[in-house]
Amino acid sequence: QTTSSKMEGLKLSNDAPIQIQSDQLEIKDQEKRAFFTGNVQVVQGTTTMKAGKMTVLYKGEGASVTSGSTDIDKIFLDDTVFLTSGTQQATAEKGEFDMTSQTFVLSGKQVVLSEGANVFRGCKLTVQMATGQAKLDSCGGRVEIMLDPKSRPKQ
Amino acid sequence: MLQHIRNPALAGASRAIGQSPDDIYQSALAHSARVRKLKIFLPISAAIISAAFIGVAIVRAYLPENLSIESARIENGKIVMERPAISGRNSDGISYSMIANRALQDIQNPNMISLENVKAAVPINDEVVARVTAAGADFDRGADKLDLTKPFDVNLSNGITARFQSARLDIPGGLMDTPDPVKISMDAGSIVANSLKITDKGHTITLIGKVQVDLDPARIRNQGK
Repeated sequence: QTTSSKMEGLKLSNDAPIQIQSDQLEIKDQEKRAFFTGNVQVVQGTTTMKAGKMTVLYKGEGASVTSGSTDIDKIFLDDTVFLTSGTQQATAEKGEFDMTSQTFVLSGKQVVLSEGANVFRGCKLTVQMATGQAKLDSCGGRVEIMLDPKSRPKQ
Repeated sequence: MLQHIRNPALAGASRAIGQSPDDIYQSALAHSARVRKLKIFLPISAAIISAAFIGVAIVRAYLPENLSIESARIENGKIVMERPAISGRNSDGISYSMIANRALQDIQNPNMISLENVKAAVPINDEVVARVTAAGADFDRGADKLDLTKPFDVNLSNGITARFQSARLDIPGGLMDTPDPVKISMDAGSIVANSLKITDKGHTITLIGKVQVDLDPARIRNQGK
């Protein structure tokens, strides 16, 4: 069972500036990884993402922070991920951005997606970053949906 | 018995050149006075000259092959070198160069050299060269440590610049750390933090305290084109 909706804000392909804040950043050039740890917060336009830890994998031959041209390959988020995008919010234990497939997956024992007063619970939220299309899976269990009658679209 | 032998030859010689005994005595006095004076001045000048030689020799011995100095003089206990230029190759075979307006080397402790207005160029890899400009730096040659006490900039030839308030460099260990704020800016954004540590020869950079990264994806993407 899946439920899907649109997460406009998560269209990361737009070019609004990104700001990342954290207590510490460790860049390991040879492993091509950057570890943001401690109160990590990423803000782009109307989308804000918080996590305890964020690991960025970048790629490219000789592409390192010192050479300035870095292509991000994957981003891993750990220690409870909290995401707000416009009117939608999502919380989960872990998150993973895959830049090549342009998908963003939130997962964990309980992934909660709320839109205004409507709340959806499942175990995996997959968002297509190009379109903002979001799909919540219940992985076998039941997707719990609490719809707020008032939010019914007016005919 | 020995004391009584008079040296007839010495006595005879002075009489032979017709000087009266007290003239001889006077010239002997003057001679010994001269000797006494020389005895003091000679060692001092010798010390100073040798110090300069030792200093320069030590500097040359420790520093890599080509060290050119415009002039060197000694001023209140320090060897002052004008416009020292140092270039050489470090252990990885990467050549580096450094010039300074002045270098002062302590005579008592020749390991300590303080440099003024330093400009250094160190290649990081085959494409990127780092240029460092610093107002002041203290170089401890014994431990090969460079202590940059005043704000300085590091400009990488790929457009990245870093502004430090201070830094301590352990050259052989390839370590650098600064307890003061640092700002790294590239054309696609900037990184600021309260402190920074660079370890294992520059391959691990750790920024600690209020890290903020500002990125402009448009610029990154244009770079990609």
